[in-house]
Amino acid sequence: MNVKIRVPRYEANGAITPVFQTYTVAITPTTTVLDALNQIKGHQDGTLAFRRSCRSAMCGSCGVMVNGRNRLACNTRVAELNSSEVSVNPLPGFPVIRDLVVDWDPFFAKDAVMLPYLISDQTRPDDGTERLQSPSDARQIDSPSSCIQCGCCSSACPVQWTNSEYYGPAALTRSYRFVEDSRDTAVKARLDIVGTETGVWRCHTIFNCTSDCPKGILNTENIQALKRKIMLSRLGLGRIEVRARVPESA
Amino acid sequence: MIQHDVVIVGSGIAGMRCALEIKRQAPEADVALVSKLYPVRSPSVIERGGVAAALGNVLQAAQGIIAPSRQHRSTADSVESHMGDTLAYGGGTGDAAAVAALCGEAPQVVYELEHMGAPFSRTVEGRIAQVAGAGHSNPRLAYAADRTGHAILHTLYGELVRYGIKIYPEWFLLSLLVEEGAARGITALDIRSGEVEVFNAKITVFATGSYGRIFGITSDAQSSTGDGLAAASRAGIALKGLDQVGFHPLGLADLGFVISERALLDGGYLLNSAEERFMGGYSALAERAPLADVSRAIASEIAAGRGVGAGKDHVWLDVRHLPAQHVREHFPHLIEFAQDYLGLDPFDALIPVQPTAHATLGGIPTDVNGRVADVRRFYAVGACANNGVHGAAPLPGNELAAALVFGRRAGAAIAKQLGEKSFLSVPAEALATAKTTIKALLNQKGTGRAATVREQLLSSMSASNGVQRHYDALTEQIGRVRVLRNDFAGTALQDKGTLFNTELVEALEVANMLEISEVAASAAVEQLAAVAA
Ligand SMILES: Cc1cc2nc3c(=O)[nH]c(=O)nc-3n(C[C@H](O)[C@H](O)[C@H](O)COP(=O)(O)OP(=O)(O)OC[C@H]3O[C@@H](n4cnc5c(N)ncnc54)[C@H](O)[C@@H]3O)c2cc1C
Ligand code: FES
Repeated sequence: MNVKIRVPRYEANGAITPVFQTYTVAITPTTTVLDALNQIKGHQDGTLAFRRSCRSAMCGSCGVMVNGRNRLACNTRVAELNSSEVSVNPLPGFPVIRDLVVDWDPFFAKDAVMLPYLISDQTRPDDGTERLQSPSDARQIDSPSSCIQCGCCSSACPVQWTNSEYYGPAALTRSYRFVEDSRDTAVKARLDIVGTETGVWRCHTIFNCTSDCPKGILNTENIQALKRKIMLSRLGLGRIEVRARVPESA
Repeated sequence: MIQHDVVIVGSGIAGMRCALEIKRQAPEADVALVSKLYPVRSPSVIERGGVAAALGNVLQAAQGIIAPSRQHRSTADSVESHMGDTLAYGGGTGDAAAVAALCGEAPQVVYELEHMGAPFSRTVEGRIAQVAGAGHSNPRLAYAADRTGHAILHTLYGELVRYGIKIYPEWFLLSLLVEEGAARGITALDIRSGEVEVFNAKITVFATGSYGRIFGITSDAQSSTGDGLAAASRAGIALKGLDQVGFHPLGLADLGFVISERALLDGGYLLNSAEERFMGGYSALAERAPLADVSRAIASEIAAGRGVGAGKDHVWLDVRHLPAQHVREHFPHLIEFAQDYLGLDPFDALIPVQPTAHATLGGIPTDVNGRVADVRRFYAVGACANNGVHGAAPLPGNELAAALVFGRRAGAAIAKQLGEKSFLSVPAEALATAKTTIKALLNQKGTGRAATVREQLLSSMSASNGVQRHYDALTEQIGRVRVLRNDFAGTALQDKGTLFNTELVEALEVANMLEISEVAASAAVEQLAAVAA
């Protein structure tokens, strides 16, 4: 079966208006959007630029907008889209470098603001072994720590489109992952970072970030949980467990 | 020219662990990571099964579905047991010193990850959870759900941020600079701008990962193209054991993604075209045999015409009889792969699998501290290095352990000697040579496409250098790779630009894959000849 793939071509750095180009690709029931892009690049037009690495939905390289939804090109089968013409766009709201390639630097800079490492003054066992953590405490960070940093969520957020200062759901879920970690003792500092105008209070609970997450992470719920924690900590209630729903399979 | 005390090429688990150790032991050291990917995109992220370490947190359970232990810390496991299993699995050919270092230090590197905050799964007592793996006499794989590599990679990335280690993301290694027997740094292409730069370093480390992509059917990432190996080889370093490749029996048909062997250990079946279990005919352990034996058995079934699928080159994996809850909990990726990539429901349908190139063992020869013998000031760690620790086959979970242990050991060795080292000058023509390479590739004239050369290389490498190897097919393959190298010289790029030219990057990767495929096929011929003699 043949399918048309429509892609905007951004020629040079900073070009604002793209020229759209349409390619025809032969697909099988298992051809993914990434396979189709690879076919185009290899055999029709070597100038088409996009990123890829793992092919198996783990590295987060290939986030793009497919028929209006943010998804991973590598785990989206073309046939499942049920359309004879598929439009593939760079992640909206991210600066475009070229074609489907966006600039990741601002995204990772926001991630770094979240202090994406454990801060803990819990004492460690004298024998150098692991700290204990209960399975349910571990499960609490299972979903937020499964984020692959593909950007699909932040890019789906209308607030992010209009306010590039907003940390966005990916960074906020990162913060939540540490706030929820029973071993982390920098909860107050973390809540101070996200409890700002560029943090959780920018979120208008539009839920795009939850619905477009390829990993099923409940980003909006995580942000809501952060808001509640901030309110409680302002009341002096310290580490209060206000839990977001954890997906059943986790 | 860019200068750093240490330049590490590659930001997977090995490269990051090395960088971190240098910063911990020599806080004033100026360390930079150069990587063709953003760190969290590195191929380490796909690893699922777990990291091997004799923590002894879980007691051996009866065969069959492994019940989580309710015991307190068991003493059943030990470093000695881990060493014994490692040597046995590697066919008795593993390097004893390297094995002792690996198994002895694996518990420590795993505990350190926990201290850094890695989200390991836990036992009911709150310890790091461990499961059994093929070839392990004790439950020894420490895991984080079914995405251990992801958990470790992201944890180490956080440490890079904590220590403020300089990262050059999306820079492509072009050459290793060696003069008078000492490494002086590298040249690299900034993919984003198209600029070529010289990096001058007191010490240079390669952590560039595996070369699984020279095979058509592989679990490896599209970016595991052996670039570091090719660059080392061009700098005159003799690569070691490139013919050694571990095949995993549970590659998803045509795609090569690996389904965890736990699907077999926990009771899954392999069926041939008659939908009959066949493993019993090959091994008393049936589906629980060592992975290499299972791969060979599948290859034999296929060779005997009992394969399934259009090309009759798959067999079936059957997990329909396992408790659905167990499958959901322990191998969600199996469900995800079947549904997302094949459109199948594994609770209802058989899943087509075939052996897939999974662990490339060959690499830059090093000692147990990552030091490369022939070149001073040069180290290699992780999947691109070969210190003989795995012998003929890696015990599951040992590669991750090796990336961590030897990454750390190299970091410690480097930190110790940095103080006494000064910068050595880089060869005068280094920059010009690198620029000429790029310009020549951009201006190469011809009618062929690099992608076509790549496709022919991959399928022929899988056919000739697979699970079953034959002398004639291998020698023929060496000739074919030479022809393909010639074909590559007749390909032209359509993209002549400098801005994020991914066609150029892919062409550089194809050139590297051609180079190491020839070395790999030649090594395989020598190996067969040695066995025959
Ligand atoms: C599907 C799969 C499953 C696995 N399962 C297991 C398992 O269960 N247990 C186990 O122990 N091991 C397993 N392994 C192996 C293990 O994951 C690897 O051995 C380990 O992660 C290698 O880490 P690394 O840091 O050496 O390399 P990688 O993670 O591959 O990193 C390589 C780095 O080098 C960089 N690089 C490469 N080329 C260039 C260049 N030209 N210029 C600049 N930078 C470059 C890349 O950007 C990347 O950052 C598995 C591997 C795969 C693929
Ligand atoms: S290529 Fe890695 S997530 Fe798609």
